Amino acid sequence: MFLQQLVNGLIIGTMYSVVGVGFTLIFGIMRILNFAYGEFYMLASYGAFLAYSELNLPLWVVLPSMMMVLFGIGALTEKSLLKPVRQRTLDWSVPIIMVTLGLQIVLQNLALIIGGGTFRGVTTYLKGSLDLGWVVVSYERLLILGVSVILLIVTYLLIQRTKFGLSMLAVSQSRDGALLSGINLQRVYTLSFGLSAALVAVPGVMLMPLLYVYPTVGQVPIMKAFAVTLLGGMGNVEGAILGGILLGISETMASAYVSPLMKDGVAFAFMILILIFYPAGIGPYLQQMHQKVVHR
Amino acid sequence: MKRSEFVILIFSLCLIIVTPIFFRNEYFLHLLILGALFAQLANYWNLLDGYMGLINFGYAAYLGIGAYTSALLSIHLSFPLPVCMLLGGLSAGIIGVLLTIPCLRMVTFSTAIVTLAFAEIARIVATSWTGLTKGEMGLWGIPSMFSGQSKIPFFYLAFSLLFAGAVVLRWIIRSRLGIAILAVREDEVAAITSGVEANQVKLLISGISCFVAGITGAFYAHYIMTITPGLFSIGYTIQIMTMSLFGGKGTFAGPIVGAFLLILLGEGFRFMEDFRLLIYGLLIIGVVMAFPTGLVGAIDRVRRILWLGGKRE
Amino acid sequence: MTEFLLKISHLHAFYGDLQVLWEINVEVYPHEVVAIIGSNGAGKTTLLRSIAGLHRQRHGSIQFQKEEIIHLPPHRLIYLGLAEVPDERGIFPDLSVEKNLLAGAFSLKSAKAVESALVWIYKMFPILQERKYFLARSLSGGEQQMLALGKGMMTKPKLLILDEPSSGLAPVMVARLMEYIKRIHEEGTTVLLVEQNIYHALRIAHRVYVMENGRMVLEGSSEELFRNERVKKAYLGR
Repeated sequence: MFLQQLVNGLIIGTMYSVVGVGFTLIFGIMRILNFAYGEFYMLASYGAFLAYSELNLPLWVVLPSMMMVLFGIGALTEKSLLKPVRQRTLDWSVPIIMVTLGLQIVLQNLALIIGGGTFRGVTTYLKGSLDLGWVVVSYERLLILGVSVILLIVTYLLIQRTKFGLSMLAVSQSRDGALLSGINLQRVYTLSFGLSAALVAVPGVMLMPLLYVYPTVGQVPIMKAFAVTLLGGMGNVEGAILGGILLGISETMASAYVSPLMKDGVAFAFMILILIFYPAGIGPYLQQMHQKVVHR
Repeated sequence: MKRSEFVILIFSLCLIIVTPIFFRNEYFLHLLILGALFAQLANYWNLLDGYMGLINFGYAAYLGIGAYTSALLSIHLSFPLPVCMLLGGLSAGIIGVLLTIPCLRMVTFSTAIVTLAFAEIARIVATSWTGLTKGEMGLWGIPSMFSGQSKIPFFYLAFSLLFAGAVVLRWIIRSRLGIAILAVREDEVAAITSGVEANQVKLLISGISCFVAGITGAFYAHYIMTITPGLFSIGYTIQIMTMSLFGGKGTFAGPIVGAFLLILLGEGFRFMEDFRLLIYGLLIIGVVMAFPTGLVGAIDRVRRILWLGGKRE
Repeated sequence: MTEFLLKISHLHAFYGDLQVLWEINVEVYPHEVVAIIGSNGAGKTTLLRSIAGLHRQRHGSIQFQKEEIIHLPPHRLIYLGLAEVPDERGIFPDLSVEKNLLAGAFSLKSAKAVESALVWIYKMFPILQERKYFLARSLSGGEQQMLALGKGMMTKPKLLILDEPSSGLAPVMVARLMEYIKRIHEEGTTVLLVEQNIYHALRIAHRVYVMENGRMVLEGSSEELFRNERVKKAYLGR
């Protein structure tokens, strides 16, 4: 039973990591909290529902297309809504956060008006499960695990090995340094905002069978995003990856051994406990360890 | 106090005193009362975040703590209402201080999310502890502050509280404490080396700010007479924050202006029930994009332009 | 008269309503080392930030190789051959030395160019090669300054602007640093530097400008200024 819960927690945890990475990335690069992040998830979920259920498109088409659509939405949002604020005032962090807040309200209510309040969903993308003796894992869950892991690896490589990734890291550590190196700040902001939306589109599509779609479904991912970002350290991608898994496991354990109702409460309490010992999140400690290993 | 400010003050005081006499519409008075309550909350959230720099994304939790404490005390122990309300405020204030202690060591945005988490935990507790709080359904039958149906006494009390709160706030900002607050916000290390007890200042301001939120929550409880765990939800915190930022973070009149504006605008769109929130959101986006530093700041700039050649204040 | 590399004319800068720079006129010719000296608060850093476009509340004219650059966004400058090392060094604390250098080469088009730039910089600053994989934040002050210089030079810019390179360094390090700057100059780069360390600034520069309270108050060759009574009294303590 314990192992079963652990595996389930791990799997959902990797999705939380994806959610967290998208959110913490934007915080690191732009120093803002994107309150409309959950709504990007919601849009992807609705899109996936329409594409899969109504248009009968296969998952391997739906997932990439939703990622691309959300990338576009994210980039467009940044360029049309956030950029003007940046150009009007030097101290733009807070006003931009407010714009995302407004956007969140608008998107959520648009969904309410257009989509109606009913819960929609698909039962599952993939039927059946794998029985390993003490652990049973549904193929659905395995698929989720596979997608998350691949996505996390790709994202990590993007950040560490590509020129664009370098520009993202640079901007998050020194704006002046980045500008003087020839990095186009505006382009980095727009593209990473799009990337962030594309990342959260993945759980939006993959978790649809588990969480269903409805106008306010966005509240779930944003809370997880906050939690994982906090655990991992603001702007810290590796921390977010580990944080997501930790959150997933602690949540599943809490749900199984304490009470399903208190699931969220326990997760938050766990978070606060970690923060008491690691006030800046676990990310910085990961970095230290990473250095010790790579140190030549 | 500058001449112009004095004039505005007297003018608004007269306006407030006179309003219930000319406007008997209960609904309108209700909106103004809500406006006054939120203005107070926006002002004191601004003290915490705008002036002190201590981000708090769970401010509504203190509203809820004050409301529930006062309500429960009055229902179960039948304490006189002023005592209940005071205790409501005190419990909120004390909890606020306690929560700030671990936050002192944290990075600012970690504090943001911890405070958010706290509000969520409080909400979950309020929802689950049905024995005490009657859970999701909420507490009803809370004794009202005034006998009779009229909203007028509530109106005067709410605005008196707002006025008192504003006076205290202004006094704090203008005192040595106010200077200490700004010093800590701008450069904590420098402030400490100049002899400012940064941590004490932060805890004090947290206490004051949360205390006021608690009292306001208590007022709300004995006014509306029904409270639900929804009070703790992030929605209210966001509303308070929006009002403060809308009007202009860090300014004095900003939060008050923002509060009344948003309440009236929000309700003004009631007739388009479904579209109300949608328009609310669009409005936020629009106003912030046009006036990123807040309305009060923008008005100030317009004033400067119009008064070209006039005295620089 | 050879054509100027950088020409600043009638530059005024502000912080909100407060004016901080008045009527700044500076010329830098190719293959020179020009220094701007002045005490704290004279406006030197604001001037450099204004040139780089990091501080944008300014008006006047800034021309680089006959092209007006005052309206350009900061990230375009390096493509024109103008590199600046700001006073916080502009390095990335949580990136390795090598990654910092690669970032400095961001504007280079081909991978080969980046590769050869890296080799060249490692040759010039062997300590950087030794500490290739160290995080920038773990380097000593002097090493960080080397990194900042190396990063700034990755594109072999025509003009290198340095903001107080000697700040926070021990005297031995400062001397070594000045040697490096001299070498960079010898290899063909024109240098404009702002310095608080007047002694070294006068030794390394051909021409010097003196700033006080946001204005240019004196200009001349470094020999002239060495002998100037006012400079000697105010800055050299004789």
